[in-house]
Amino acid sequence: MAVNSIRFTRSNNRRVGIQRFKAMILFKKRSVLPGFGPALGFTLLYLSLIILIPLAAVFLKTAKLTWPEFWQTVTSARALASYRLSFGTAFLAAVINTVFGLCVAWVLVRYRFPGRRIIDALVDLPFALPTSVAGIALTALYSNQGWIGRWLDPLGLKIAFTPAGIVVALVFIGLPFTVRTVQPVLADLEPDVEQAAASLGATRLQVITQIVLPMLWPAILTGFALAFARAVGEYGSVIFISGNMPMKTEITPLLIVTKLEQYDYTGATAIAVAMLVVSFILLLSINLLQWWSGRRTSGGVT
Amino acid sequence: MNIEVRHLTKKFGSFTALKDVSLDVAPGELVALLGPSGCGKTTLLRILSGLEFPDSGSILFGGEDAAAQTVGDRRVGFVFQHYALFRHMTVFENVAFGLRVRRENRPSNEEIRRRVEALLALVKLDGFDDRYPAQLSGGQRQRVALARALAVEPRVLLLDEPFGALDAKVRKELRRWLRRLHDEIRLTSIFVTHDVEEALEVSDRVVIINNGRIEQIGTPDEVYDHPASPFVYRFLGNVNLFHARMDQGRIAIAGAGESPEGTEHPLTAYARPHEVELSRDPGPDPALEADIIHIQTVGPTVRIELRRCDTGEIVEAELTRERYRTMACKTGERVHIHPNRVRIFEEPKN
Amino acid sequence: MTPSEPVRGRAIAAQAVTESRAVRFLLIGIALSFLALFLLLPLAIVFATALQKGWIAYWAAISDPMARSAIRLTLLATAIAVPLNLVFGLAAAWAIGKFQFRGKQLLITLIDLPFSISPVVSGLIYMLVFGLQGWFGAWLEEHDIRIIFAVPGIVLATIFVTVPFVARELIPLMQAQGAEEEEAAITLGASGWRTFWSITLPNVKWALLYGVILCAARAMGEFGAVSVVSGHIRGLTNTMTLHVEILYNEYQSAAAFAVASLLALLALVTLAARGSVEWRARQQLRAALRRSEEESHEH
Repeated sequence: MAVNSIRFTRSNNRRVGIQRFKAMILFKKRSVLPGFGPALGFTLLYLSLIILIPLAAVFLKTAKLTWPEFWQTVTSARALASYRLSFGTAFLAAVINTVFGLCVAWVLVRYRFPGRRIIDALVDLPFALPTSVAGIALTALYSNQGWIGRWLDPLGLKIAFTPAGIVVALVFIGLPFTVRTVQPVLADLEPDVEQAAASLGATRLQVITQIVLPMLWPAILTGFALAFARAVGEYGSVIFISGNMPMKTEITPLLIVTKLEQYDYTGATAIAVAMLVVSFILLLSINLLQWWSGRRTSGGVT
Repeated sequence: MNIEVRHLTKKFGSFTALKDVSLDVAPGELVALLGPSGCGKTTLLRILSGLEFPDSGSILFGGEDAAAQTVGDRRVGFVFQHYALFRHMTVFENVAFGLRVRRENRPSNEEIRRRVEALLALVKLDGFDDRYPAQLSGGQRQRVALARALAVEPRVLLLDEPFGALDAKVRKELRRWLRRLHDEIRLTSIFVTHDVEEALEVSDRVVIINNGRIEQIGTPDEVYDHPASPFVYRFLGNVNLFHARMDQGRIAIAGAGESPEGTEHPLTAYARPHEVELSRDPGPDPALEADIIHIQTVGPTVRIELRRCDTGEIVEAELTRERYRTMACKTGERVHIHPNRVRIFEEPKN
Repeated sequence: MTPSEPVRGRAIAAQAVTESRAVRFLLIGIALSFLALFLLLPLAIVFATALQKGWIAYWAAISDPMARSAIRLTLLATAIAVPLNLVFGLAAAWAIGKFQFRGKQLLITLIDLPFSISPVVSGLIYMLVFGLQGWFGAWLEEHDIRIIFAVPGIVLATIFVTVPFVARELIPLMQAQGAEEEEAAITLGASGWRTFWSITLPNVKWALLYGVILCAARAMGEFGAVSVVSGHIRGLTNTMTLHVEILYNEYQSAAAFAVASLLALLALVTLAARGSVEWRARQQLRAALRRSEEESHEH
């Protein structure tokens, strides 16, 4: 009996030891719920196979280039022109979206009017509508015979096949990002804060500029960054309306596709790496922004 | 079934939740784990249930080492602080869950129905079978959680802050009801609470925990009348502190000018507000002088706040209404304080 | 007669939370015009152009064998991508939502990665792995397996761009719900699977459905990534969005818009389904957040 119990304790200790070893590897707190290992294992395997390993391929492919070769490719005149265009139009579109997105979010949250629910649902259309459909629809609208283009053409305003057309497409695809990041924050603002400010004698304009907007800033910035990040990489909706003239209306993603079609894989990859680096920086800043806004909105309460 | 806890230690990162905790619980006992929040009492309860794992130490259920048993094998009924009711299931299905998931000797549907109905009657929720948790009040949810835990015929019942999320009136009703229920079914039970009154009123024995250590174990009377440490004394109620010193074998409360630091063992005398007497004459023992700064009647008692003339420290006294009327003291009046029952502890070194 | 105090107080309160009528109408006007210009008109022109040449031409365009094969391929890619990403989303949310471990935030960021990568780059990375000059290119060629410019490539690209959808709906919800109900089930003797099926899954069903809808919509609508790996072989590697592009570039405007109108209809159905499901999913998340907030307040 005694021997038995000793053996039992020892095997038990061993089990605890193994558990602790596992915990050390996974940095995990032990839990009674099963399935952590398989679930995390599958998650990591899937992410590696689908995302991480293919992504690594891009960087390894570029590593075959020498630094001057790489630099020459990513700073060629045509590439530089495409960056200017991509970032310039994405920035402008994100600014437009931030302003009008705030307005739309404000109207949807604060006012009641007929059709509000439907309008609210419609804001997500750019998420749901395939980009190529958006691209041909916008082109049809703004070409010189289109519903809108035919009114602008006599005024000398050309939208389709110019950078302005690219901005229009990027405004379309970026709109939900700005509306949907500001909207919930605006909805959660307590009206008593505004009432308190008003009771202290602030005018409505002062309440909005000094109380409401400062509270919305993190959300507004996050929405801007999301819309910008999406716009920089956008392809489908832009290529129809842009006209795709090298040096003039050729966005960076299109330049990558063009290089691929010319079997210039290294060139395409080098530019892709440049874009990826920018994407990662944007992703990092968005995460920081969200962390910041999360801290700002919840930090005060607890 | 009896429970033996031996030298439990548990750390979360650099935070030590439990330090060398040992405890015995007799069969059929109702034990309260009492302490401030973050003291480790919930951790201890969760380790007992098998939901959390100790870094070292052991637990024996009825003499058997529980480390080898999974949560399911331990047959503990655990009542969560926020009930953790299955929100998509009716009251009936919540209570029946533990019976339905049995892999061996699962009762028939009729047997399950019979047992669930009996349990719902026991917790006074007959007729609530088809409600969802969201449709119940806090007290009702608490009782469903209890019925659900009892359905698996546990050997031990563990309750985490069972009344923590309820309002004051329901709390009081429900804890008396729990006491009666326990007297009826005599199931070994341990509950966690930070509410002193609750622990003292409901339990057979109280385990007072602070900073991951057990400060004292005893019946409610024992811990209240004979607190083992200054912490226990303070934690169990309001308290006045007086510096004291050994004076020729007798303990004397230090007045101004007499510095307790000079003596070998600086002491602190603790007296509860109701143990402080007020009078207009100094009396036989040397008493402290103080000014009444505030008088507040709270229900049957009168709370009097005084400022000592020598040190300026605030002393609180509690009189019955009767005594207050006969004494008829007023704010601003100078009176004498007689702590008539003090408890002496050595002052902490720092 | 001066207004009594409470009435004035209420007037101040009302003023404090809204603007004058004129400003309100102006803002609503701006917002609606903007949305009409950027959302409604593009949607309207899709259907208008699609039906320009009448219903017969419309039907001819969408029942064309090439169009039908494009629809089949799109549905196939979706039918593979959605279940895989569903299982992935559940596994990731189970690990992240119910357990404590280090590196969690990094993992969440990794899952979101496809959102911040240009669709073109997403396609490109598979070219580099499976393309002729890619890592496995020579080996695949030898064994006569085609991935790039073939159906597997399209499926892979579709999976890549839709990886985050189910996971990102489930993770915040399961994190907010915590593990208490599961722990309760375990103490009552339920097995891990039983707990998952009868406690966890019912508690996240709306978010799950919502994630699946989003995932499916994106899978059917993906263009950039698929375009890079497809090779545009008509009848073989053409998805619906690519078919729209080809028709459009061949100046078959009405036909292009006819196929596009199917995708637009699908988008509208998605939005409608979202409307009801999203509302429930949000309720579920809000309830869970409220509970966890209440709980943290008590401590």
